[in-house]
Amino acid sequence: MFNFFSKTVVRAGILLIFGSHCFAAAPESSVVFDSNVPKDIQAQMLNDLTFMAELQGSNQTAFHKQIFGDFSGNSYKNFFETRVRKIGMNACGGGNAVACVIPFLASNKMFLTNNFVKFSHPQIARMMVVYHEARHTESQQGNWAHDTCPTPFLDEQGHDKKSIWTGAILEGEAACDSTAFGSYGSSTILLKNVTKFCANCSDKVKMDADIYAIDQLGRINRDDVKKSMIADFNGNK
Amino acid sequence: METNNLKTWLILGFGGFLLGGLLFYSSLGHHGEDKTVLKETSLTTQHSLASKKENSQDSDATDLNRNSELTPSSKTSQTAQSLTATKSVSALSADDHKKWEVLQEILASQNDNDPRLDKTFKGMSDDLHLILQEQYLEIPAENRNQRGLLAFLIARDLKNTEDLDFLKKIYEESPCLSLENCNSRTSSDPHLSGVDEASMNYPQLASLYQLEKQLNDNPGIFADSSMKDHAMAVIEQALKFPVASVQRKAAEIQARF
Ligand SMILES: [Zn+2]
Repeated sequence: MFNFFSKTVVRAGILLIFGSHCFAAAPESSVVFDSNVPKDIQAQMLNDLTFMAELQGSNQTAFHKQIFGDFSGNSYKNFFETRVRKIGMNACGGGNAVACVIPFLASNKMFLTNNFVKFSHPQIARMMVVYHEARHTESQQGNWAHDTCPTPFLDEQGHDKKSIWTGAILEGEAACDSTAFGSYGSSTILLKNVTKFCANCSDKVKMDADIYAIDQLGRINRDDVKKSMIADFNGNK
Repeated sequence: METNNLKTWLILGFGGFLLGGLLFYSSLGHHGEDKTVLKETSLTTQHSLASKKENSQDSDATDLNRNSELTPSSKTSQTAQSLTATKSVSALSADDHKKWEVLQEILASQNDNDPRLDKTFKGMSDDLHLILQEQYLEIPAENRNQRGLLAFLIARDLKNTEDLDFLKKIYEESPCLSLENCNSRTSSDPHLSGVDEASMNYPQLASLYQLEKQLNDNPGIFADSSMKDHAMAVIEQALKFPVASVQRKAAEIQARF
């Protein structure tokens, strides 16, 4: 439970000691960066948030409407800024994380890691992680805490869902959702809508959204929920 | 359950206070490592278009693997800026040269939604295709998005069997083992490990997605049996790439076409 922040708690002490001075970001965004957020990370984050705020869609699915509203940059900007007001730095548990939220430390704050600019992720993948984390700020929903992945947790071919290279094994981990409306589900819905309806996305962004939606959808551990999501993407419920 | 969590947070939070200074010190040490890595970036090997043309397919394939193995561990957005124009770039036509400069801007900006990607890079010349293939080799393996972008541009604009041979070689590469350093494994938090995995295999996945799109939307390109054979050879090679998500996509395409 609360796996998304529990591993970060020790390093969080750094922020309590050093992270008290803040200054405002660019006027177009209402988020405020801690003074220790490196300039290149701030610039990348603001560029990425602008990218999201400029998206325009021709339509949206019902689940998208329910979670984000209409497909528009304004909806995405509003979604993010009503959940995240401050951005700080944290190791987020170490490893490869690029962002996290730590609700018991600050309910409306997102933390970025150096990996946000160091690792080479496509832009929509970075933003998918940021929106996934933003969903975790919703304390009235128990922060959409993840569900435990089933044991065994198999893919369509009957193989264990685990990483060959990183050794990250999913079975038994709090790395799944049993609802379409949690962080994995909402990320999938966002990405699938970008692929299907984005009117001003490049071919690359639409392709990337499709590529990165696969894993997020694969984290839904209930077949009926997954089916309802696929029906939503296909335009029927 | 909630009370237990609260206790855990309080205990760990107090621990965080005590360890904060120590960890802050250790994080300074990491900055030092990053600087060293950046210095090494400038050592990236340059290949000229002329020498690439002279190479046999086999030695190209060897080059690609060697590049993946020997490329210095850099994965910063500065890589595109650090690349210098090779002889072959200076030999481009004025129009192609302008396009090449636009591409360098986009690569450095990290803006995947630059509208010029769709306006400027369709119907490219053969020379520009070769330059993009050359630049793919120059970019450090860890720059997955940049490498993937170049592969994507070529796969979206397939012109000849050389393009398909280039794509095939992407599946002959050693798989990238981590975003930190393609040559060594690191542990990954299961929470968002799928994102890491997709990025590690991004050039391979992007090429397959585009090849699928071409086979579906532009079957005329493959009316020439040689083009079709080369496309199928790409898929065959992708089936051998030792990563399940890549194999899955390749099998899906093979079943369709
Ligand atoms: Zn999560």
